[in-house]
Amino acid sequence: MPRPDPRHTAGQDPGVIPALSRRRLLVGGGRGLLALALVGTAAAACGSKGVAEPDPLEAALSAARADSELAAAAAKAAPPEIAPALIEVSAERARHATALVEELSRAAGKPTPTPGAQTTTPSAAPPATPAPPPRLQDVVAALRRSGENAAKLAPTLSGYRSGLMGSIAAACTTAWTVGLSPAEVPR
Amino acid sequence: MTTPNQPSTTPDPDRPKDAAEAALFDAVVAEHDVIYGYGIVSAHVMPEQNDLVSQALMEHRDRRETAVAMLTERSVKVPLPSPGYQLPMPVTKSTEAAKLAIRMESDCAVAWRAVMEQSDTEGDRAFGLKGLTQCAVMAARWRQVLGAWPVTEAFPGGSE
Repeated sequence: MPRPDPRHTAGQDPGVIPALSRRRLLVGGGRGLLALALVGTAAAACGSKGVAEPDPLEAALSAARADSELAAAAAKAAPPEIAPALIEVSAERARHATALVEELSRAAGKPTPTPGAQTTTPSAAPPATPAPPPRLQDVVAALRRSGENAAKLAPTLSGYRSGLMGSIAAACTTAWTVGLSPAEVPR
Repeated sequence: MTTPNQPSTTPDPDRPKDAAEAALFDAVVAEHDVIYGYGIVSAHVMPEQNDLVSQALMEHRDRRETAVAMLTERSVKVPLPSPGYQLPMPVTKSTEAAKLAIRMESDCAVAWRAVMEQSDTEGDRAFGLKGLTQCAVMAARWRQVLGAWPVTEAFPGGSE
């Protein structure tokens, strides 16, 4: 008569795993935040003596904003089959920017800027002759680059930051390899 | 089979105390589940999706074997595949099979992101990233098969 293995309880069934994993993630995330807060304090103390190094997430934030604008501009000129996918990419990269702003503010010990305050950096004066709209392949190239950079950065970070950059890297890679490639063409 | 009335928080006695090892242990449990579930997916999807199923199974098996080796190296007890599984949803047709695949890939992405967050070494975090990315790509490909929209998500494995 097979004895029920204590390992294989309801907690191990696929239906319950997500909740458990997320809870663990939250618990772990909390610990990560505490550790990061301590690191942040230490970094602030060092920064007062020497030159403060830019937060590595700053570059990721610039890339997310640039990609979001690029995809939105490309969507305006794109054929209707691909425009929705470009709009989705623009929205996802904007959400990456929001999450990165939150994390940067938290690490710097400042309140998260309000959405209005975030947009106080207007782009430079428009050129005399408007540039042609970006093409699909420009967006693909930008996402590929952003995904590679995020993938290089993520394992060098720890705790929540590593996970956040990991999700961003995975999203960029998925966006250009699947989201922006037609379903008919097998990869 | 699982007992529905059992509390879902029953701890696995083999689950390591160390957070990094526990995350890797959980990821192996998730991979066991996915590999089992793809058998069901394989039985119900259209023949056009056979290649996708094969590729997914290959990725998950490779990842599970590597993760098992990583646990063994650290003298951590490896979770065994369950003798029986309860699927999170009924699967009797191809669309349900695709939905199950999406669900499993998403769950696996959560497990690999947790490995990234809990690990102490760059190598382990890089391995977690590979798992997270492959699961995210697979989930998107299954959404494409299903005709679901959007095909992609902003934070695979995350809840931001």
